[in-house]
Amino acid sequence: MTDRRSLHDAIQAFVLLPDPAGLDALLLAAHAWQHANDPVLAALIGAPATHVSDIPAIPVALFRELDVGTVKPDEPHVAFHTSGTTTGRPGIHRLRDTSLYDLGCNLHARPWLPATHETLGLMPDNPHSSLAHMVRGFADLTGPARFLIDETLHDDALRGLRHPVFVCATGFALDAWLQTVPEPLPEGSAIMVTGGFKGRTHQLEPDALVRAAQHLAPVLMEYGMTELSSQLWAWAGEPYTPPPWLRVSAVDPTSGEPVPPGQPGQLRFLDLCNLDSTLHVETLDEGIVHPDGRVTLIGRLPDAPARGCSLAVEDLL
Amino acid sequence: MSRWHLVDAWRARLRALQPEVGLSPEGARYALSTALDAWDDLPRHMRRKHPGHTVLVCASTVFTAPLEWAAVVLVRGGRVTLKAPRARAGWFAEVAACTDLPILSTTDRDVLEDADCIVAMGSDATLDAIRANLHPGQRLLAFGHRFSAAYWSDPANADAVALDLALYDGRGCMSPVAIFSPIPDATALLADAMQRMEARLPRGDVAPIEGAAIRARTALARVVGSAVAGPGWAVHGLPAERFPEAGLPRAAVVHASDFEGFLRAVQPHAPRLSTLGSDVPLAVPGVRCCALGEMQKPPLDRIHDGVDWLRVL
Repeated sequence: MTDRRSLHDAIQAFVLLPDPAGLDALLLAAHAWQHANDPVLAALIGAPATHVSDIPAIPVALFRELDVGTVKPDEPHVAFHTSGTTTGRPGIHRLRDTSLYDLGCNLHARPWLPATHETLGLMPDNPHSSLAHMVRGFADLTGPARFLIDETLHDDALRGLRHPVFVCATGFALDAWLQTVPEPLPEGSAIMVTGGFKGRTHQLEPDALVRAAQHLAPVLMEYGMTELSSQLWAWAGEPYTPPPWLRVSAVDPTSGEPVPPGQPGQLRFLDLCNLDSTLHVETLDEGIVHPDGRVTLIGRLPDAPARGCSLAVEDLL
Repeated sequence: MSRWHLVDAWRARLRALQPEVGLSPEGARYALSTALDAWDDLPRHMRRKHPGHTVLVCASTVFTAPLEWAAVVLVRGGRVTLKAPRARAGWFAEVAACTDLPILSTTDRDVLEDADCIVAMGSDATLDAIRANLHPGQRLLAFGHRFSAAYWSDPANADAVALDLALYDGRGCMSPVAIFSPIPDATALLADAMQRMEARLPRGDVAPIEGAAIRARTALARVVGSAVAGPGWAVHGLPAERFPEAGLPRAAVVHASDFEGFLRAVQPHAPRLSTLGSDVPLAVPGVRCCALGEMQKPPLDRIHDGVDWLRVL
């Protein structure tokens, strides 16, 4: 397989009917194609990797610095952007189309998703938001999506509901909603919580937030990133489950060397559905990859202690 | 005994301390010793009086920075409280405990209420919070984040550059975030010097987020420039348009540049520059300019972040 169409079709077939024994070969074929078409990857590794473990993990910071992936900015594409940072340019994840994203996302999420009348997104409806895109994609099961945050949270839309709804919220939006003292959601509803819990000015306590939300409806957790095409899901309190086409590993943040299963480390994701960008992505999140492949998210790597007067490293990332 | 003799005796006791501040023992001792050497010049600055209570807020600064301020206040007849961050409470408690001079250390922020003068070193948010709560009559000298850069033209000065990068593991605002150099093999020369420096003054602890950031910048440098790394150090050759405003511990950024290019690159940042090191004559108004190897060894009498501190204190 040396062209995108055949790789796309092979990945699509894998997502529809995963065959774990075939994953490595497919990853290596996709990597070889990416190597030939992504100057960033080619600069990082002179020749394509011949073992999956040698596929370089691209740090998420590079998505803000460089045009990572096989899609040139001037060719037709869909772009998902990370939220802004102090350093200016957002990270950009470019896809020629969202077919693999949509297929994988819906197939893997389906066992967790409730059948509801309406999907209420506690997030802005931004065309460059992968999260909003994902939430819109659940409509056939969870009902048409409505987004309740623009400049402010329109929590009035969450009062007096008569039919089950699926509320999708980032950690900070959920916190804002909980502060309005909401009433429990109708029977059959569910709340999805995603996103970071650490902001520039304050940090949320995820466990307390989830406990409070569980008084309103069952809570399920989603872990995804702009730079990835696949997501992990979990019921609150359980480790996240990756789909069969997403392999998660943890490394020592200082050395980049793998840590044994069950030990905390910096998370990396090898995502077969990231065909148009780059397969292997290194996050700034800390977590534990369990022997069964499920993942406990600890949170963002802790800030460096203040030991000097120069700008904090956190402001770089 | 005069205040100077008491301060000098305090200096001798400080020299004997073993700071546990995240640096290697060798790095911490060298940094402390270098900072205390600058006090030789202190007797020349005793005449001006500074009575009253000065609180030094040490929120985000290298571990030795408050010492010279404390010494000047004490030698001029004042008393000092070090408002220490919790992570550094042990170090500043040791500093205050090894003298009979009127100096205390605390993590209690209420101490600011009682200050006649506040000298604050920290983030913009910290400084804004202090500024907002000043009482009438309280003086504030506030020092926020700054950064530094260097111009290096003579290969013989590689070790001096490495020392500027190594002291405080490069976390001080006087440490160069970037080295501009016309030397063709500057990254290789500096890599050798960084390796020698690591043997002499090993790098201390690196936080997980710092380790991740160094590896991310190594990847960037491999794509757009060059990267050389060894245990405890890295040298990243990057185009000048990727001038960073923050340093990473023992991870140097080298920009290929002539002197004019260096000046063009740093001048827009002048209001936020602390120090410019150079091995050719250099003067930039309001910015401390010094020789390579001296960037993090500031003399007592200097312009500190644009302030003639010995005269305004």
